[in-house]
Amino acid sequence: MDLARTGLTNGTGSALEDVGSQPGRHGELLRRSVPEVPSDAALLARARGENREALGELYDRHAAPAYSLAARLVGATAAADVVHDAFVALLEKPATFDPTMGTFRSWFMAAIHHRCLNLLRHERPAVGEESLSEMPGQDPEPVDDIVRRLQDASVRDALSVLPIEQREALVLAYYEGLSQSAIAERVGAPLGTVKARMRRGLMSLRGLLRGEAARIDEEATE
Amino acid sequence: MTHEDARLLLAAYALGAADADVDALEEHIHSCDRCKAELAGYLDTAAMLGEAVKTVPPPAALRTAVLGRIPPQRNPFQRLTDLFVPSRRSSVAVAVAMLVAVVALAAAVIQQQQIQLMRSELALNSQGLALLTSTEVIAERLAPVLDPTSQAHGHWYHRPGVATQVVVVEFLPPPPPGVSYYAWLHHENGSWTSPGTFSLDGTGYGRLIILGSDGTDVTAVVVTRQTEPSQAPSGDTVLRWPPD
Repeated sequence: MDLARTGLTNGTGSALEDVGSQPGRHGELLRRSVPEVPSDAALLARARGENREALGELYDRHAAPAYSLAARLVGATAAADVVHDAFVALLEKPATFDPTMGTFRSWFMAAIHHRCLNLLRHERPAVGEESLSEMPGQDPEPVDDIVRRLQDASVRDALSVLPIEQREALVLAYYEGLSQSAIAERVGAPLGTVKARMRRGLMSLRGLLRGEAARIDEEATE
Repeated sequence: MTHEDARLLLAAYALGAADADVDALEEHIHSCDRCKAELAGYLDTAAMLGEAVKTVPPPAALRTAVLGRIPPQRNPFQRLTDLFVPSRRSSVAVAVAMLVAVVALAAAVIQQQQIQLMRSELALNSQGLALLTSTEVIAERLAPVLDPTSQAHGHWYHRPGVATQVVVVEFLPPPPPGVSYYAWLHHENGSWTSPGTFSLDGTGYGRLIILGSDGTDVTAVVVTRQTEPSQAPSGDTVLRWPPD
């Protein structure tokens, strides 16, 4: 009988490392035998430890949508700076990402969005953020045109079925970078109404995008 | 800021549209799990808005610039090459370079051996995995002998017709210095064979994979504590199947 001795790979992540002692655990073993994809948080931790490969993988996962969003908001040239600075901040400011506040992707996209809005608003200090929509030569694109130009059909369709007031609030805020006060001024609605539209609009959009039978709330009257 | 005030602002905050009381809002969020959860949902939806825009591939230089924030792991062979630039071609540098070359060569040979070893282990593990994931695998429990109340136990996995067996032990205490845990198989012809000793991890877990026999002639499996190899179990029996 050929006898082969093993036990050499304990703790090295080999396929059998997680072998359980119960027959019922074989299914689990099979699942675990597939190489695990590191989470974004794990990659981030390794990147902060100067692991270039981990940073590269994190970049490959998230740079394209981040850059696309930034290019839409501030143009391609500034978008490169925004994305670059966002990744640098990841490495240099360890407390920036809080996993209790959602996924890394949603947090990172919010960070990109925030950086873009800051850039837009600081480029026009004399006017102030409330007046972005009133900038000369900055005639806002019609809301429905913005929605039509979205590449993702599911988001486009979901936005299209929202009440116009909610759609307008979401689009003006997210894609045009208007503050709630600026939106209130622009659409001639009370600030509280705009807040409510944003809240209901996001909740309904979330339900629609998750395939739930979303309840599209009617316009709040205040 | 009250919780209700904060909730009304969360959506605008997620959309980047909050323009008042942001500091107070962030302070409240930090201490309010319900608001954190609600905000996480809003941020997730807002991210979908962000991902819905027309895809624009980032320039290749951007990746280079981002990764450039972390210094690359230098190749040891590159260091060797550096020593041969003309300005450093002194006798000392050449001597150092040769020394480095020898070390690098030795490292490469060791690395190659390690790769070969890892490949062998992987192939072995694959065969063990094939057995363990089989629906018809037979698992016999190795019960503790010295202390029946001990957590220590093991399993012997085999399947008729499959020339692979796996012995797994768990929760074994660390052996005293100079002592190892040996696996033993007792065969129908009365002989004993040992596939080897267990290398335990920090939890007392270890395994052995045995190739070349399906174990149909095995009548008993035991784990002993021994100080040296032997022809048959010679130390204390720690685990055994079948139970006495």
